[in-house]
Amino acid sequence: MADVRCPMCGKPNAEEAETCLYCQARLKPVGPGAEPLGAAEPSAAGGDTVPDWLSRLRDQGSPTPGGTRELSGEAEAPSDQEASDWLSRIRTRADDESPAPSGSTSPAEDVFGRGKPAEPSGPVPAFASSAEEKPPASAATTPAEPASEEDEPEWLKRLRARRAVEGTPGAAPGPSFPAPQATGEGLPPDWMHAPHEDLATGPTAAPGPQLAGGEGIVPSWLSDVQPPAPAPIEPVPPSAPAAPAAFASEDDELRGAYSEKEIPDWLVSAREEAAAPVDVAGLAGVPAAPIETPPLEELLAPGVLPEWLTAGSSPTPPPIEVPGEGLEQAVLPPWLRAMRPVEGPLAPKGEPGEAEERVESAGPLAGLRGVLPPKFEAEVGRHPPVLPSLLDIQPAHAAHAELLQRIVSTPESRAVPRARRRPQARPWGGLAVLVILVAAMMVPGATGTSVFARPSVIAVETLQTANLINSLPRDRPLLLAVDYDAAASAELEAAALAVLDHVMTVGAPIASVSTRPVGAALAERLMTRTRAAHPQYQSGINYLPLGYLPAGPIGLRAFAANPWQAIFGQSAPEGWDAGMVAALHASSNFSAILVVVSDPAALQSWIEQVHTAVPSVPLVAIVSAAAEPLTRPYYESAFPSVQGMVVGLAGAEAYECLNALDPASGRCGRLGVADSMWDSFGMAVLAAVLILLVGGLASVIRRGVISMRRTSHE
Amino acid sequence: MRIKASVIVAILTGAIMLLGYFLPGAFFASVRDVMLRSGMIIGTVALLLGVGNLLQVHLRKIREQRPGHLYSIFMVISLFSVFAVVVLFGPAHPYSVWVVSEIQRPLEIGLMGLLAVVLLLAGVRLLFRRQALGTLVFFLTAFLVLLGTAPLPFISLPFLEGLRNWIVQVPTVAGARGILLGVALGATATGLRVLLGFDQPYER
Repeated sequence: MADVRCPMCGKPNAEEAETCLYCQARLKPVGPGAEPLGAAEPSAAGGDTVPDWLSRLRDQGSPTPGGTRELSGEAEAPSDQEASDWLSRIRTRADDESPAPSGSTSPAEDVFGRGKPAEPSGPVPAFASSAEEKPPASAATTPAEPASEEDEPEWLKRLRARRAVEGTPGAAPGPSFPAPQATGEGLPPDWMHAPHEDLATGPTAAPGPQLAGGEGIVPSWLSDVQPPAPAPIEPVPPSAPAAPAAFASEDDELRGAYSEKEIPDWLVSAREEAAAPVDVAGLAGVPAAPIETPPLEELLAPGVLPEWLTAGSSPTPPPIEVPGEGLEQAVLPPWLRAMRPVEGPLAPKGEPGEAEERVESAGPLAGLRGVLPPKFEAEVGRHPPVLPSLLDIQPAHAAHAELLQRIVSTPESRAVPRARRRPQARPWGGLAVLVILVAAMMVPGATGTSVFARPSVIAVETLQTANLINSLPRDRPLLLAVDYDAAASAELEAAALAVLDHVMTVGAPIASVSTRPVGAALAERLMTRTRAAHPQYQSGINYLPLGYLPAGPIGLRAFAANPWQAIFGQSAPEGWDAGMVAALHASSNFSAILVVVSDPAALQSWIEQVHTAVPSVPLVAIVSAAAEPLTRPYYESAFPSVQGMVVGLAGAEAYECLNALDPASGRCGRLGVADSMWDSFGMAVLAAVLILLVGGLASVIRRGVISMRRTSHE
Repeated sequence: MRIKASVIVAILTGAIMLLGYFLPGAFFASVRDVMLRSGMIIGTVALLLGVGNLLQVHLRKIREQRPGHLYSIFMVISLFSVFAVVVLFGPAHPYSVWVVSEIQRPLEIGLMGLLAVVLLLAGVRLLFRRQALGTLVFFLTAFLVLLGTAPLPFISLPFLEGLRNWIVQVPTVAGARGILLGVALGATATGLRVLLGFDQPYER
């Protein structure tokens, strides 16, 4: 298989390849009937590609002993390869030596892609002489007898008359140089150079093949029809430049710049050579000989012309059919018409004539004009336009498309389970409870009734506390530790007041201290309320407010080591009793430690930090009812840390009863703070019990109702 | 192993304080007293630092107009007012006692009363929402303790008081002792870890 070399990269490619495998350059030129660049010569030299009509012509042109036809000057016709060789030489030399006059390009030149008509330099076949070439006047062949003027068609007569009026040298004798001799092979016949329209007009209209020098064969009327032959090449005089205007202007400038004397010799000789007439016959070297051409009817007979030539030149063009004449026009259905794009992606978008005006500026096609369609670069590699926007969309379809787009564009949302509806807060329930409790607490005070019985049984720890207080000495102070919050003051103050009242009744001095910032104020409040009934207690004499003890357990431990130094350091407040101050230098001097706490941790600190330092000093705890479970273990242990307890409002009420117990009647005598709160406390607790009871019953009823409904449903 | 100076100080301090509990002698007692007084001073200064930090936080909140800055304004005003009263008149002065008795005490007592209402309401709702054995035990315990604590009108039921005391002093104290024992063991373990240097809370 013959390889085709790429004209761009020079690498071999397969023969049938249209583009280079390596650089994608086009191997076959664009155009009808084009051959690959690399394979043009082999195909032209091959005998298989010679059509039948050409073979017959060869046979007719071959030397036969008895034949009427004979090739001039040649005993044997050259082979195809030889014809191709000499023809290429002629073309090359003609291209080099004789530039064609401007505007004389024939259709044959376009077909073969050459810039100049080939001028045979060897044995040229008779038909190779084109109609453009004017037959030489001194041709050896006698011109054929022209047909009578009556046989000429009417249009030819008119054309001849017009030529005669214009003075066209249609039948004038040609140049004096001898006509090239035709060899009959290697060149396409002359009539092929004519436009197809000439062939389409039929045998009478088309001029037959004209042999070189055979002027007698071509009728005179046909010679008139032929286009004017190019002017004979003559030496160009210096004063009449044949170059274009641009070159002429340059020539004038050069002429003005250099005088005749300054022109070099080589340029003068070149001028003389250019001015000398070209001896084409001499180049051919073969004298012209008359050649008889076959009749045109024979050449145009069916089967003689190749198919590619007859296909493009139909002698009878098909009649132009008028749309709608005799045919029923097709009707597109509406749905198909709606889908038809208004403007397709491949529709030409360039202006008319833009393709012809376009000159490639880059790539292998640089410098060529009109080889690519307009806007080619813009369309390559680009997606076709979105057709739906160009369609005739119905409103219903648009609505559906919008719905689909909205569905697609909506972000994915998982099915979020509906949040369980939180039960709305029922402020009415809390408000009802509050109202009930407040009302219950206000009823005894508003009515002035006392329906609740006093405690009939006094706790053991309360009795132990009262016994301890009764045994307090009067020369040593009792340490009062106020370590409760203000929130618990209502409950604890009642018990503390009852115990302090007992202490003041006994007459024991008191020293107060607190590990809480508000403890000092609460202690002062207690002492203020208690001193109302015991005015003998004066601050600094039998009552020593020590104030705040910082640092929590560390302060307690330091206080247990040396109370005075832990609180005051060196100096004592003015007006304090010296004996009392001296008693404060050791914790063991306290007669008892009375701790009022609402937090079990505070009692624990006092037990661990102070009572362990002075275990001989008894410790009594006044605690709230809520702190009782965590403080009772210190009291109920085998070696109790707490020697007495007063718990809550019930303990306070019991202690008040002990303080004001009438020995005769055995009933509580004087009423205290705890007793004033007892009925309200009782009513509130009873209301709370009732609320709980009603709620419990309601829940039980509700559950029963629900179970009954389920049973009835089942 | 590299031992830090802070660990050595912590271990020595703990050991001296612990030995002061078990060993008689003036040396350990005097050293213990010095350390305790120093601890009290440090604790007092720490309290002042805490008050200063609280004041700084609320002043920044007021300056930046954060949500709830009005409460901060009230806090700052109260802080400076009480501070001025106590500093000027002393903690045992009637003015200082009045501030605590007439402002702080009612506020805290009111909150405590509200807590009683909320607890009662929560107990009732518990009966409706979760009807289980625990709910029944809670209901019966609360009912009996309240009924045994509260005086009954016109009558006295020593049986209810005895039942209430048994509930409070036997099962409740049993649980409380367990809690106290757990707390004591935890405190002992924690103290030993600090004394042995395994835990270094002072390094945080």
